[in-house]
Amino acid sequence: MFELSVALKYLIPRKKQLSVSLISALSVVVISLVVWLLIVFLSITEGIEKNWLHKLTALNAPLRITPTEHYYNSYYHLIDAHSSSSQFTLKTIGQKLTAHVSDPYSEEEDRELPLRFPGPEKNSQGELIDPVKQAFALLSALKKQQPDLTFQDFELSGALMRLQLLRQGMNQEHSQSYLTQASYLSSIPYASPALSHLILPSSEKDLNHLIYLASHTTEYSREDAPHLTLSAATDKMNKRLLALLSTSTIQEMQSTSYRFSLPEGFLPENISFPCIARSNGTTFIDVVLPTDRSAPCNGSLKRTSQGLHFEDANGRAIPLSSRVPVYVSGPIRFQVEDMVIPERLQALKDIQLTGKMTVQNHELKGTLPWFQLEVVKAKFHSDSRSITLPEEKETGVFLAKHFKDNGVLLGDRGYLSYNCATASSVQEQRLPIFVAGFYDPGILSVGNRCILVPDFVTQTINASSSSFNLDKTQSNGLLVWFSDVHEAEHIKTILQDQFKQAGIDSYWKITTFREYDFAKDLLQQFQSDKYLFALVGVIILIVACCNIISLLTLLVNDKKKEIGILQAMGASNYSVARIFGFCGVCMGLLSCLIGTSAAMITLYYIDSIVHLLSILQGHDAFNTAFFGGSLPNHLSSHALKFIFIVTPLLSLCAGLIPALKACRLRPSEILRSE
Amino acid sequence: MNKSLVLSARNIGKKFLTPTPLEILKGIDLDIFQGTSTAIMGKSGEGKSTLLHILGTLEKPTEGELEICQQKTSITPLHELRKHHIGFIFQAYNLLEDYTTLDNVLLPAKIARQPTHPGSPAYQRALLLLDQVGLSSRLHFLAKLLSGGEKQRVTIARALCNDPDLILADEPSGNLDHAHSHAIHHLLLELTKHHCKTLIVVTHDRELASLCDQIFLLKSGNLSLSDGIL
Repeated sequence: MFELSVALKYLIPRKKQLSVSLISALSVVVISLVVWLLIVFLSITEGIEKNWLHKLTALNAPLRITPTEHYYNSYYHLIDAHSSSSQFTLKTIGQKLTAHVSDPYSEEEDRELPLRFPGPEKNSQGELIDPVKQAFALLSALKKQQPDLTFQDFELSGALMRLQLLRQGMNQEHSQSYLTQASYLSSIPYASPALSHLILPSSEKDLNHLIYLASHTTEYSREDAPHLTLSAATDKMNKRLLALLSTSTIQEMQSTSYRFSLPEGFLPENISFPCIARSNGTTFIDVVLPTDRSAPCNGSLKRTSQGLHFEDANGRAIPLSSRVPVYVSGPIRFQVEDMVIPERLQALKDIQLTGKMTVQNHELKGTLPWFQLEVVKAKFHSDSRSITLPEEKETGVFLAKHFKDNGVLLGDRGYLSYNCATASSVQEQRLPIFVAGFYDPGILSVGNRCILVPDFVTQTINASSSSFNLDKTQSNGLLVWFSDVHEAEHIKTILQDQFKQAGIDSYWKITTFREYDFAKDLLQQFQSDKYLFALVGVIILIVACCNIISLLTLLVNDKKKEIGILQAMGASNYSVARIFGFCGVCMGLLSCLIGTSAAMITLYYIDSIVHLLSILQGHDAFNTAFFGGSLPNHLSSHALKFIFIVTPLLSLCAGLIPALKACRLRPSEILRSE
Repeated sequence: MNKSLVLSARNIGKKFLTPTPLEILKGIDLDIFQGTSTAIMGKSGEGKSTLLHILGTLEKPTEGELEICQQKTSITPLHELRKHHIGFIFQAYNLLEDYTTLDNVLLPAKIARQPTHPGSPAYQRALLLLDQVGLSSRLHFLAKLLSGGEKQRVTIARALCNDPDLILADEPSGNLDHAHSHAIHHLLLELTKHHCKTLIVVTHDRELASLCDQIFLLKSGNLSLSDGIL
């Protein structure tokens, strides 16, 4: 296109047009900076919002179906309390789903219903309407049309959690503390497709703790005397350790004591190791090899075919008895190449580790028993999120990651305490648990105080306890997941229509994640922030694009003669205007490309940049509790669309003002004056 | 053979109001027929260039009516007339200095949205014209590197590129020495004759004027046919 080729020719910097070139470069730089800032900010905020939405909908589901007051006051719900086949106990939604009959009441067997008891609501066939089974059936039908749809019932409860934190010190001593917290219990959302992403991966620290716990029995430990903690029975320990060690491959270990006892076979022959040998005047007590060669020593240790020798400062070689222990001072790292586990494992010491370590710049190879060593590097097999002790009599629960930050480790045991009213008194009941993992609660309504438990736990506690009074219209219901959370409103409408057709709409309230009380304000705030910043961004862009006006006005003055020539050759005013319009758009597009490239580089190195900012500030630049472990670094497609539409458009508008000026030039005057 | 009317001016007048009111052209009537060459002579400041610009639709007259190739300038878009019917040759060459010789010649074709890629008719014509003006060896030279005489040859080729009906030349040899002027005059006249174009040239140069078919004198805003030469 003729106009575009002329515009590009004008924009290429030339020596003769230094001022135009400088202003042009400055304009592009300013717009690029704004584009960079906008893309980085919008990408990060969108990423954070997406992460939050992901966490919110992973646990709470994008759609929630909860029973209404009508459900709880209905014959269908209340009848279980009057029916012997329901053991005179109200049922949860999960129990209602698995119940064999919708109406368990039998006039022959059960007592007469109270006078004001609500009557049964029946369908056109005269059968009792079963809102739970019908709701599940409708969801199952919807799943056939939308295969990514998953659903399950949920239940909330509450109990007092008490955890025993049994720990081992540097010198193999035991210590223990207790952690008590009133907690909400939520049934584990197994149907959530994103659940596995919320469970934090296990670490080497967890593995060490589990290995320690495997050889101890905690159920009989005394709160006042942790040193009396009993060793676990051999069979049990054997089973536990074998199960644990099969979950990972240990790659590197580190000594736990400040002096590591070095087996004799590790020392290579005829190499002198500077050492400190202590003696009581007649015999040697021990020999210590510093890990660093430059440490002060009183001689050197050498292994020959005749055994170990100590060479003192005078060069005198003194043979050492095999009973003199040889230590390496400081923590040493042992790279494990092979591990031999005996079939009958009595203790960790029975496991033989083959590998190498570096002492005084020499590589020492050999085999040693697992003693005073802890794992520092391990490769976890396929699913590192589930290394736990084989479940015994305790129930595995998932705690919020806040507990992990406060010292709770995988495998810690304890119990859930709740009250149970009996005929004569209120008794405390304890349900033993162990920590099976940690999860990221995101913006869960009860946040860090929520424990994920198997559904029988909530059912048991709710059936017997009255300690926690939760809003019953919120504590039991159905959760529905699907891959695109933005379809929530659409699916809600479909379900509402189907529930209405089935006559169960009065039993259920359907809410999307945007209506959740605990998330509504935050999501609205996110939206407002985004719009506000986009507005600020557009204003900054307008200011930046104003540079284009001054540049192109200068360019029009500079190119007057050429404009006149083009007009004399037959170029229309529109054609001349297009040249300068193209100049503006080209600059806008060039700035977009530069700004986007810079933004991509920034997002790629966002962690390093945040790290640098943190160093400069002296504290974390971004709160991990709020922003997560690392800032999102995906380029936002919305931000790109916004930038690549708005910037060239604004640049075009900026180019139009000088373009109008160019149009109004009279070729006769220009050519005459030239 | 009846020659068709290429340009017809009726009662053309031009007044400038600033800095002081001045009527520079008064009731000019002019008919120019196809294939003729016309010289307009006059003293400096008499309005020769203004008249040429009005005839070339670069400037509007204060009064009067102009027809180019039977199209009234009052109702036809002026840029369309310039694009298809008029070619300009300026005293100051008015080439695009950062473009090559070939690009300058192809410029009117590009403005007229004709294909200008190698092998296209416009491209072939540009090559032919540059050959005819003797610049085949300077096709890819930047215009700013050419001499004055070469630049004027390029403007002649450019003026002919779109095959216009009317060539308007404003002091085509004003910036050239005598030897180059002589060559340019002959080239201009020969080419316009060769391509059957109508030429109107504004000049002080009697030699160039004498080569034209008719000479008009512009004096005190009035245009009159010189009876001394024809």
